[in-house]
Amino acid sequence: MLTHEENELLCRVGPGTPMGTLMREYWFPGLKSDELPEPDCPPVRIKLLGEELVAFRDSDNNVGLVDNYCPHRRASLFFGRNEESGLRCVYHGWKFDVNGECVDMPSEPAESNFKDKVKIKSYRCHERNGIIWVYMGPRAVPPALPELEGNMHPQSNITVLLRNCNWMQGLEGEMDTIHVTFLHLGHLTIHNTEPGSMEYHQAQNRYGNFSVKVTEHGTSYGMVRPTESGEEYWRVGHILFPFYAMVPGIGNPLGSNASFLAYVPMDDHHTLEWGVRALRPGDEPRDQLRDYVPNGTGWYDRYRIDQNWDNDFEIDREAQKNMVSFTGIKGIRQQDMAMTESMGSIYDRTKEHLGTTDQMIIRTRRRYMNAARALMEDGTPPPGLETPWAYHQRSGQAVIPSGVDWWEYTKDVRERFEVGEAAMEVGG
Amino acid sequence: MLTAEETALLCRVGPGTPMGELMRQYWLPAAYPWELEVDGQPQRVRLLGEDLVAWRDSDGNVAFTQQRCPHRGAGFFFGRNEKGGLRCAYHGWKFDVKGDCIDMPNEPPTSNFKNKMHITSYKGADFGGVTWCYMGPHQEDPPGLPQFEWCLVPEEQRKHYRRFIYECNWMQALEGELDSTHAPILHGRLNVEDSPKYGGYTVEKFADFFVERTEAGLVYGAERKQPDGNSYWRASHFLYPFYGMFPATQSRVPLSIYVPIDDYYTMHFGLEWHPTEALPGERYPQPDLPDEPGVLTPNQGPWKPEQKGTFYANWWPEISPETDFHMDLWAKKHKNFTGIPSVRQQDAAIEWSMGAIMDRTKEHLGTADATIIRARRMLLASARALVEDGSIPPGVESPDAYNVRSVAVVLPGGVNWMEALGDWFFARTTEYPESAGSLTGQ
Repeated sequence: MLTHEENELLCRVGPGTPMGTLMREYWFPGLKSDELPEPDCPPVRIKLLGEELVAFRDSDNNVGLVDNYCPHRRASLFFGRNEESGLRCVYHGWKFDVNGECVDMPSEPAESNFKDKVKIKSYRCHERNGIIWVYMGPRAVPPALPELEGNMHPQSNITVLLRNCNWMQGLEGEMDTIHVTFLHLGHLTIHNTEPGSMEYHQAQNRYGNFSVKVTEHGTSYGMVRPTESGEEYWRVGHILFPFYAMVPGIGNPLGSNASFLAYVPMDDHHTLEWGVRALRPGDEPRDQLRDYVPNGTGWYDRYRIDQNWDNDFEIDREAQKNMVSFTGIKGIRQQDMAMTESMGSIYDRTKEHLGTTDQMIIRTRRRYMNAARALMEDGTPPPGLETPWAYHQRSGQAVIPSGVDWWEYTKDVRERFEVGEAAMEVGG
Repeated sequence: MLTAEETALLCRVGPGTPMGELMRQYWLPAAYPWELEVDGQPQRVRLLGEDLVAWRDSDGNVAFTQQRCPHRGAGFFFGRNEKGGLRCAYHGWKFDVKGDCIDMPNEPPTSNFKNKMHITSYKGADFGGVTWCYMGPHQEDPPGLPQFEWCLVPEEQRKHYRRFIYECNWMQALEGELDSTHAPILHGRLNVEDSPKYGGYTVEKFADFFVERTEAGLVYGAERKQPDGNSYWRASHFLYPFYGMFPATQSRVPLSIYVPIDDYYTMHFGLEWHPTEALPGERYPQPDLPDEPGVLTPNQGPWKPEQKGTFYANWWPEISPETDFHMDLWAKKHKNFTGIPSVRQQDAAIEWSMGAIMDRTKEHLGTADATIIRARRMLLASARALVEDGSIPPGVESPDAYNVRSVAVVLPGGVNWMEALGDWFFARTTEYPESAGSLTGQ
């Protein structure tokens, strides 16, 4: 349970808020490269951390991310002309480059130097393997990009999904790995699963014990259940600052893939959830079992799917009753969305009742609030900011001998990092 | 006219408001029993500003349960209604109709956390073809259900014929029911020689009003003196906290219910019954709409497709603010006063047009508004008395006081209307009062 003040501190990310200030210290995914498919293509409305912005790709292939509003009379640059290395407001023709400099002001006399004094708010962008990373923070020299291997191979599987709830609500679902046994796999029993399989271990023993670690990247968990053979079935996952998750998933052996999730806040009530997985030789893309609605141009018109709150996520009560699935909702992620959206867009944590299996949530929230307070009070850099290698982690499930130290025992597979020197340089 | 403070006191019904506390003393109509199947889908309900899910357990018990699981706030709407309880789909916590946690499979078997977990769950009951909810403080020992005649007669003598959501505060809707003089105007047809299917017609629009207290509310009569010396009486009841009647005929007695969903939305139930005879037709509302412009339906018209994601998903009408209530300009010019094709939607349009909570500091009430003035004054006094010294409001402890009827009849001039009509009014007879003459129009 949190107080109302703590809940506000944890969830709000607009300009000037402690958590928003913390997030602005980091590079994070802003949009996909293919949203700006070619030089001088149409600009795109982008909302990040409560700020309304416009992204564009200039004639030289540089990406710009600028204020939606022209500094002259606040017309939206979404309607602007993207031409000859700049975005020109269609109202009076003021033109800005990717660095926010005003490069043309045809409505003022030729001898005026007003142009040289006007800047538009602009944020740095950096493309890496299909993702346009953005830096909205205060440093003149930004920190390094996080070494998240999922985005450090030339081929990858990148999915983005609009979540109509606060970022923390989505992220908490990734800390709460025991819900998988109910929400996603509640229809499984020891009779309809393969003995010895990961699913069998979950059906055989629904309750789990958590072990939580506070780490350089944030927090990590292992959740353990005894197996029939006297070993231990562990689910291992990580939360990495400011909003990344690596989760054990439904059937992933520990360390088997290089991937991450990101819960990037658009504002306090809408989140873009990124799923990024490196496709190394032999890796196959996976069917996400979701059907996207084509992207539109509105603030919330990107990466929506056909199952949503307004159709009850197409819940099938017959399938629910007959245990085709526990929920009757198609798709793992859609089941999560039904839960996280049903809490309300910012869930009231003064009313919750957390139990022993919520330890990861409790510890992680505390780490976030402490980091945000420390940054505000004395400028303490938050976790991972200055240690990009702290992101060398992998998640998954493993059956290991009983009684060993799970954290040490899994270290080699957990911290596997297979990016060559060349790729590191491209990653910049 | 009311002050802004009085208006807020009268209209606001959320938890902790005086009028909300008053409402919580009563059983509230909330659903039809067939909407809640045994072990069936939980339904989203909002009552008095509280979001709830309504569900029926394996033994047929109904409960109105808090919307969200106490663990991590997931919505029970997506939950599984199975084997004597409602189970959250997120981590499997399961609750019975009383709100006790009866299973918590994600906690260790040794944990007693389950035994400490209890959620808000209000009692439900089926009566008179309606599922009622009691949200008040006496969950173990709630008051008796109101003994309306329609709840006591056999099912074939009762018809629930209308139901839809009003997009306005409940009091605004109720005031329309208490406002007898609007009927021949708002609901009237334009041409006396036309068929009554285009609306009623009353030559004398003006009426004298008589209002008296009853055990559970008010009884009021509107007298229209006729040229032949007789008087046309339309007389009816207001019953706490939100029941109104328009006048009965020999063939049926009507009741209108206005349950506050929250401060801005109201659930209307319309029903009718006969003391002794079976009523023809369907037992529950139908989406009727006349094909001919100008003709009026007594029903609500069709409903919108299921409005998933919101409360009372099946009860949002097509005839609504977004469609200008289907106002037909030809019909408005040639056939009836508004061009809106449903009598009740004419009311809904007017009440919606006042704004979600009408600003009663700006109104100008006349003599024809006597019943409204009295009802407001009573409700305000009752709400204050409940909050100040716990005085139980009218009707809560006298469920039999709800066994009453309304009337529309011509009486000889000068008779005492209460004496002439009392036996019918208070259901001491099943004989409809005899008319002393006929009216022009109707």
